[in-house]
Amino acid sequence: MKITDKMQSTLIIVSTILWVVCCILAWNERFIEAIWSGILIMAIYLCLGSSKKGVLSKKFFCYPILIWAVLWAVGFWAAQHFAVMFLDIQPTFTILGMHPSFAMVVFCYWFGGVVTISLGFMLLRKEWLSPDEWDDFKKKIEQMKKKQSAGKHSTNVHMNENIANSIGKGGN
Amino acid sequence: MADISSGSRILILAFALSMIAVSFLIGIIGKKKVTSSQAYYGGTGMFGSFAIGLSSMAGIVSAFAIVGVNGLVYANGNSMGLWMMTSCAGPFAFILLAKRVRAMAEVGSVSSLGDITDLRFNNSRLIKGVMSIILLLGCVAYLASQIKAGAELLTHLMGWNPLVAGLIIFGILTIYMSISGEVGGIMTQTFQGLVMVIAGIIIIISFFKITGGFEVIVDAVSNVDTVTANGVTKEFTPNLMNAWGTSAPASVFAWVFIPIVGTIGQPQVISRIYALKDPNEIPKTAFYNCLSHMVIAAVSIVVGFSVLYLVATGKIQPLEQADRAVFLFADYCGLTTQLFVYAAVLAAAMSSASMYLSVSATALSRDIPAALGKSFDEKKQMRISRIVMFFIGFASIYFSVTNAEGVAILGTFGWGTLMTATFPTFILGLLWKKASRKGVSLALVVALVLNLLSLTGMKWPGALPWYVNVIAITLVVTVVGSLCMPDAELDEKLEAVIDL
Repeated sequence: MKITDKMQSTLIIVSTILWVVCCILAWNERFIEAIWSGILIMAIYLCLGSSKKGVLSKKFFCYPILIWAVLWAVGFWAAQHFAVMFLDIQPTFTILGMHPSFAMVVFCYWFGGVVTISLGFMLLRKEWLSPDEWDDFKKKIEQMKKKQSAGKHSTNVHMNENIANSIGKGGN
Repeated sequence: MADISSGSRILILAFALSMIAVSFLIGIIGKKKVTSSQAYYGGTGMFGSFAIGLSSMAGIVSAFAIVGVNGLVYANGNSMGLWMMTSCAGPFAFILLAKRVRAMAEVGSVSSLGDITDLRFNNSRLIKGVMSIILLLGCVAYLASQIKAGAELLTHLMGWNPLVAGLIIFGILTIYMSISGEVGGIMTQTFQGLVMVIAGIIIIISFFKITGGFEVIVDAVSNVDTVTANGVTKEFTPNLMNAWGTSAPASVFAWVFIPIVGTIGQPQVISRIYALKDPNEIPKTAFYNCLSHMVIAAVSIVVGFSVLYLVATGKIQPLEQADRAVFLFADYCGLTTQLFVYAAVLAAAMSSASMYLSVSATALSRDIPAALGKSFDEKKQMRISRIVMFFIGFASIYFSVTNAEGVAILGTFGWGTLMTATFPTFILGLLWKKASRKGVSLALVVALVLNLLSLTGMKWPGALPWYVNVIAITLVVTVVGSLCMPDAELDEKLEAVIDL
């Protein structure tokens, strides 16, 4: 999946608009919608953060990013569903002893975040940055530094030659 | 003073003091590794994944996580617990920024956050200066609240004068931090993180021992309306047991969203990334950070629920102050839990305090003078930083224990304030090639003004924490400013970093 410079700018603009949308939704107490917008912002940041040379790995996009986003979106919806279902009353059933609404945030939000974002990052670390890519990057930076210092050196030599010439001409 | 037998009190004190003593020894040993200014200010490229994973967790998890969150779970149910359930926030932050921040250390010399802004924004003094001022404000605010929490702990336990308690804990911390800088900071935070994890496991076991699990808590809390004793009444509702508790819906959104995106913006995460020796270990580092955070997150939630259960079943009286929950839980469980609860709170306060002390001292002694055009040779710079760190440390101890109102006001000025400084600079700056000097400069000035206005009582719409609005405005200003006032060109090395 390509993330060109133009696409990068578009994603940043969209995520910024979503920040404003989140605030407006939260001011109006639409907190589930605000959380969903927040998940979109985080997904955009994850895509930008994990892309390499303008390309986002499809594998990394599917897992962890997409599965995480869906798990959280569904988890928060379910937590709210059970919170409303058992508002002001004792729940008629529990999940591993927990209130069903609380269980949804424990399993989807808390543990869900761990087995997607944390474990996925660990398992697919080469899709994010491989040792070869890091070595290539270091070499590239070294070459750029050498080129820049050589450029500065040749500019200095050139300037010195000009100064010497002008002094020589002045002497004539 | 706590209602504990004198024998137990002495044992708890001895355990807590031995933790402080070990931290001091580790800090002093760390001095041997300080061979350059890069090591002193950033520990750059010196540590492995275990140390960085644990120290970044310990830096993020403050005393508030163990004392305050439990109290809020007791008072309002799980809403604040949502903040602590963000154990994937560390890995999230590492995915977003780690390779690029670490790559910056290959492009140039990096030993502070200001050095990264120099590299990214072509030595912009305005960006470095304003960002450092905001970081200084946020870190001093957090430092003061950690000192207050730590001093109150020993005051509660031993009945000591808070100033004496503050000087014992944080005076020692200030000494080893000013001697060995971030190297000592990372080493001691790793130890303190380990103490927190071990304590956390013991606390979780105690939770299951005294309650038997969640089912009995749901049952107890749902079947009692109020409990009153000694003039204190605790009201119960089954809603305390659901996902959101009884807090305002807007705060539920904030407690989910802000800790995740906020962790990326905390200096204790960004600065730890360039301290990592091998960038290929970043995912492993993130995993250690996540696993250790999970233990502390569980503590933050189960203690609050345990105390709800103990009060609902009449085993203990309703709490006069909600933030005593963790100590009453420990007192009910017995000596072993007491030993580790006090040690965990102390470790959390010390690890965060050392981080904030070092960031604020570096900002004040190095980055702000550099932004004003003042630079010193390496040795002189380190000497100045040591003196400044010493001064900030002891001044903060005095301020924290003598000005409760000031600390309370500053306490609202931490997490979000740091985000307003780091979001435009690092998150947009390292994820977006078009983030420009002028756009980020303008955003930081706006952030500084809005932070100060909010501190002096400016009101924002809705029930959101004020800083969420400030961050949104700061991001809009960065994006619009960068699009309207682009940089002429991006250095090819920076392009390679953002492309990595």
